[in-house]
Amino acid sequence: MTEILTKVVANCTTGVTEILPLTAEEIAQRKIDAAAHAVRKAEEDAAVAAKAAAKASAEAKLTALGLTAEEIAAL
Amino acid sequence: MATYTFIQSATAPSGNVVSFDFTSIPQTYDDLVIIAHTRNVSNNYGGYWIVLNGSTINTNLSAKRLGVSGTTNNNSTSVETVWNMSGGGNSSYFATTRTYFPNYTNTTSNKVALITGGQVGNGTDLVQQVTAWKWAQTTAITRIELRTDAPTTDIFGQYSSAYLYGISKS
Repeated sequence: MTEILTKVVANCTTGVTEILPLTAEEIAQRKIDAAAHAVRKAEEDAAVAAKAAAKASAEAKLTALGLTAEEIAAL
Repeated sequence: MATYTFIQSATAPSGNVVSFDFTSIPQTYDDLVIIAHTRNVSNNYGGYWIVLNGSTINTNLSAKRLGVSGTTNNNSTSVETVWNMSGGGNSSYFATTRTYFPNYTNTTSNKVALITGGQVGNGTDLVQQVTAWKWAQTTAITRIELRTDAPTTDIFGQYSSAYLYGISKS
């Protein structure tokens, strides 16, 4: 995106609303925040996937022991 | 009986608006509420951060979300945005979110909020969320920013708007 990113600034005391361009510092901070969020999200997604895999593995082992799907679900 | 008092609104014109920034918030109410109607110019779900007092997100923000998209759970326990700034990931539809900040002027405890939101979009992809949100700073809230989480792709579409209200309990 090459267009200028902007923010709507609404001063709650004066009632004045302005459309202002983001500063270079603000843009840089946003990139930092977005990257940090992506890392945290990836970690969360990996944890969820690992838990699902462990659950599937456990269910397969229980099935091999002779438990029915209903019995496994009841655990 | 609680009284809602309109404080200020912000509406996105056409262009690349990536933030609604409420500044100089009066310290004369008990609680605050922001009602936001947003759409994303990108055809994806996207989201936005709530940032207090011009500070940074890392180390300050934590949140837990119960969310549903269609029939699929979309929960999260990580640092989280206000999920789904547009209807069903479609730029034509608006999502509506209500964020309630209790006791925003106190200077002794971290700030918290309850976020509820959803959209009906095109009627086939109902999205709902309830998020418990915490900001680990004790400073009174004087500024609230709604900031898209991916500024190169998630842009508040024209007519997206946010309304700030003060709540007086008596």
